[in-house]
Amino acid sequence: MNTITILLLLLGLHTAVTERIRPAIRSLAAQGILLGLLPFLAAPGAAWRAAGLGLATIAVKSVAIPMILTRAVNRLEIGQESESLLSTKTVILLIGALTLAAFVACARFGLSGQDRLGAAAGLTLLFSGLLMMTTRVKAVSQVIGFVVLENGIFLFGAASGSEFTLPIELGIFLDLFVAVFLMGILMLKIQRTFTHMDVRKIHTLKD
Amino acid sequence: MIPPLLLAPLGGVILALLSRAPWQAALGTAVGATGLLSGAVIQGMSPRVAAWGDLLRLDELGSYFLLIVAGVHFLCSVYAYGYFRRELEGGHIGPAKVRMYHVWTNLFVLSMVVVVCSHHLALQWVAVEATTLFSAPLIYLHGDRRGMEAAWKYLLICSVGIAFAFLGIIFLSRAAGDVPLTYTALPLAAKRLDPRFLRLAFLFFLVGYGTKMGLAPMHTWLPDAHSQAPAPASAMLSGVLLNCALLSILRVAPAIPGAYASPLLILFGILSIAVPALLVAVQRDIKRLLAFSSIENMGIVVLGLGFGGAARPAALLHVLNHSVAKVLLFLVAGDLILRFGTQRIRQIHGILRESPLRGVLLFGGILAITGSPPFGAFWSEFGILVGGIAGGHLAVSLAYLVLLAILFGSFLMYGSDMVFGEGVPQKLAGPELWCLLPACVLLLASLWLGLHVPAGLYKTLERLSSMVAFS
Repeated sequence: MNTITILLLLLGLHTAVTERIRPAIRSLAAQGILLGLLPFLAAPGAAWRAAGLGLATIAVKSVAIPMILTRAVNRLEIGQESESLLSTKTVILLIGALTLAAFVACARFGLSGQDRLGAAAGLTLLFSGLLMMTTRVKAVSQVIGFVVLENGIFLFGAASGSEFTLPIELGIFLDLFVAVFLMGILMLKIQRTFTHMDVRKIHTLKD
Repeated sequence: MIPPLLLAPLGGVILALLSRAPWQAALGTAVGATGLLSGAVIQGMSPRVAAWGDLLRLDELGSYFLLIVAGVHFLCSVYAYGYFRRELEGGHIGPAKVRMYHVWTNLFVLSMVVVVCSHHLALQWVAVEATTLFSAPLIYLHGDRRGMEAAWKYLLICSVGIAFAFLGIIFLSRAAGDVPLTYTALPLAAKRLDPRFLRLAFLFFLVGYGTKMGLAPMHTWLPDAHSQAPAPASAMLSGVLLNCALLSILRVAPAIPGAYASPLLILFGILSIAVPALLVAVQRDIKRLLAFSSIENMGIVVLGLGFGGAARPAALLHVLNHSVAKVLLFLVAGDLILRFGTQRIRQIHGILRESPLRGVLLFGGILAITGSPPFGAFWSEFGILVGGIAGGHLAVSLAYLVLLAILFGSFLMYGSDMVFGEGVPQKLAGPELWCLLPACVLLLASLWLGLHVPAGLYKTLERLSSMVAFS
């Protein structure tokens, strides 16, 4: 469990820091598989439930979402580079500080051992995703940031031991999938009307 | 009683999908809306709580919000027929898109019905996220670049906001332990729960669902989204979707200590009134103006809940008053935009001279939304002021009064520019019955709520307000 958490944390940080889009998507898919393994390890007793949740996680997070994103990247013929408003060095420093803050916060809330690691890693991913969404210029990178944020919340929830009945869990996956699906469609439509994918340049609506 | 409530909008979806012409799709939506409204009224009159399994439950508070959803959906479905007929005639939109409007609207209403009927807070979260997903296609229905920009912001910002609300649910489940996360079980166990996690949960609920409600400073997506959707969709987004996000916060309130929650609500409330008060004066677009007023009114409601005491039933009454007046204004504005061919306020003027009925509707709507007597919102805004002073929040109450006066002045200025003044270059076409009838009903409703608040409604609001009181 700890190994998976640490691997997830490293992959998430890789996604957040890398400037290239395709490796970021591959690393998202890998995160999906690791998250899919979590239910098996967390509750060894409830095998059917774990199998259902694990499969749903893998299907949505490491198959469907990376496919949507890859397709968008291919269709949009955007470059490999994902421009950021911040330099890589600043991003690494910021994420380092946020990781530290996450561990301190979790320690102060009296979490211990495995729980603390999972919760802190989850919070770190959440912050990294949020940072990606706010500082990346290309729409695809913003969507990747959103998925990293969701992965962080998922990990945080698993570490805090929150679980719901199966219909609700599946509803959560369905929501995430539809959200990314709609974002994918919108990206293509925006590309067609604006002929560029630079979020800095779409600001006709303002006060 | 819950399955029929879900089946009505679902039937609307199926009818819209099967339809071959725009009028058939509109009829399908109207049939679904009539079904939903009758179901909501029957449930509202019955004293029994409806439940379906452990996950869905409709109590009196849910019923109150459901009645607003169903009523607004019904009036908007009538309006949408006339509105899209004009749009089709003008060649602004194709028949396929009108059909898609009806499909997405019914799905959107379905998700809102699930929000108000949710017993389990995580199910409610799933439904609130679904409202975002089903309403986003409505915002870029026309397929122009402004609509897409607005829909992109809406999807991204609201999804992140809702993700924060999910963190709140995780904290809540951490605090609750074995207690089920339902709005009936949590308050009973509130005293035993870990207060640190409860406080964190409420903070994340407020920020997360507050984003969806348009509370400042998380409101940035709202004026764009509400101004780009077609008029009947804007009316639903402003008039009922914001209420659904509010209900999600109200459901967790009884488990939270008031000493912690009240100052937060007062802070977000007064901020959400102050931001529009500053920005309304520089608006050029009529629908953006109305969108800012929605931020303000949600701020008023949240402020009233923060004041507590006598302000709490007034805040719940304001939910209804805001919905009535705001839907009225969006419907009239949509009609005017079609007539004048522009959303710019300065190019809309002299309405009263050309079309007295529209002039009365617009000016009445503006008086109603700013809380002038004799309209309903006057009583709810006044009640919140009284509650604030009685609760000892003198400085905040004074600020509230000053900000309301500023907003009243700005709206009156815009209103008189549009309604009075010289005639227009282009002649206004005759009244479109299907567009103006729902607006007339809403104006009369607002007037009725102002002249005579039914005694039954007051008693109901008192009961409801005890259901949303902090622990």
